[in-house]
Amino acid sequence: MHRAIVGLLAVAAMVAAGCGAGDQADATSDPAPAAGTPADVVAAAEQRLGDSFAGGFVDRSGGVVVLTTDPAAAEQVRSLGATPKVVEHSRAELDDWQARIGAALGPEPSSAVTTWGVDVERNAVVVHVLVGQPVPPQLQQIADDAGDAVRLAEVQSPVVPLPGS
Amino acid sequence: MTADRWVEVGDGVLVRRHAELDLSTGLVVGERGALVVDTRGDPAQGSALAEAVREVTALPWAVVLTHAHFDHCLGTAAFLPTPVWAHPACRDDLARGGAAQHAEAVAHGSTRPVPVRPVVPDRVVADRAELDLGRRRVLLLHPGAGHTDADLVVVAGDVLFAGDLVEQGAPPAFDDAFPLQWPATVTALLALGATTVVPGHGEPVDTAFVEAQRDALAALAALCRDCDSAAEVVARSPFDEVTTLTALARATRRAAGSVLPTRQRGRL
Repeated sequence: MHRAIVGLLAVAAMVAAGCGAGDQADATSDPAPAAGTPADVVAAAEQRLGDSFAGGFVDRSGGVVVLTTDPAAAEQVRSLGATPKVVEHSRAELDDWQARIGAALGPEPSSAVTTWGVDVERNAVVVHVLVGQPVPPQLQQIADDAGDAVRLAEVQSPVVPLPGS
Repeated sequence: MTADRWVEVGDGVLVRRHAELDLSTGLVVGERGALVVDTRGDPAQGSALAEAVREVTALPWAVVLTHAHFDHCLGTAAFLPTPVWAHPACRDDLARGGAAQHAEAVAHGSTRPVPVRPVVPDRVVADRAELDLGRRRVLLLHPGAGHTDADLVVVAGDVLFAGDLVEQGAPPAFDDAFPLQWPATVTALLALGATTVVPGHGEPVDTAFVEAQRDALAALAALCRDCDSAAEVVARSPFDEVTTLTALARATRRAAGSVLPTRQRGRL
């Protein structure tokens, strides 16, 4: 391996994907998951909400939450059987910030930053930076530009627990 | 055709053995969550894998992709919404829309008329990260270039999911490989201390198997560096001709493109 740095841990926002039993997929066509799975609900929401789609997750009780930047889209989300949550940043915007961070950090692993990604529940790109390590200036610049769409999180422990624990 | 089956290789660590391409996917189960290692080669295969996982555990899951080749990463949709982990370069590859993966699938006999649009991983780990599944920690690690430049391996206790950095039952695949660096990358894997290694294709193996494969990779790398003729490389290679010539092409392209070709020749 490249170096023996302490691993930075990103939050594994593990979400219950609820059902999954039954519903044999058709092996010849493949509109992937069977109707009614959380994957299906979120995919349908993405299609309907378009630019205002901000991601989805399964909450602790197994219900699907769909995030949107458009308060007027709440009813559409409910019609899919999901719970709407209005947030500031769309999924496309967060994906764009994530890609910019990747491009800015380049291909070489950094000893300060090893993980970053879209945290749907937090509606932000979360970048884990090891305590005591300098934040790369190009990353700091992006974080300044992005406001609360990009959050730098200092981590001490090499292990980040699951949310809610 | 043999039915797909689970093989338990450790406490809460399972391998799904697939008839298709002799693929091996993985599942690590903790007290609060599970991690799925690779998602197979198309959405229907991914759905079948998701159902198989649900027969093992009802816990929340996350996904990690070992690399961006089609047979490992095109079944992810069935697991959404969930965090999907990958190396940054794997993420970037999948973000290009799936044309490369489609070409690979077609080369392996797929008759699918249109590409599967890949799920783009949303969590990247460039070097290493550790996930806590609840009384079960798993390490995600990029050990260096090898089968591709974006391989991630997963360590769960004594078990290492090596992706296609290790192959059982077929020679290593060099199409997107870095043949001169691959041996050292496998050496790094051996240093992780796992006793069971799960290849991306084939049956779980022990460290002696991995050492032997590393030695074969190193022998081929040396031939690629030192031999003057392709015929000589093929004649002395531990691998078949097609595998060897693919590796040689990759090795010489890398050497030619390297900023330090002479130093590269001196290493290993």
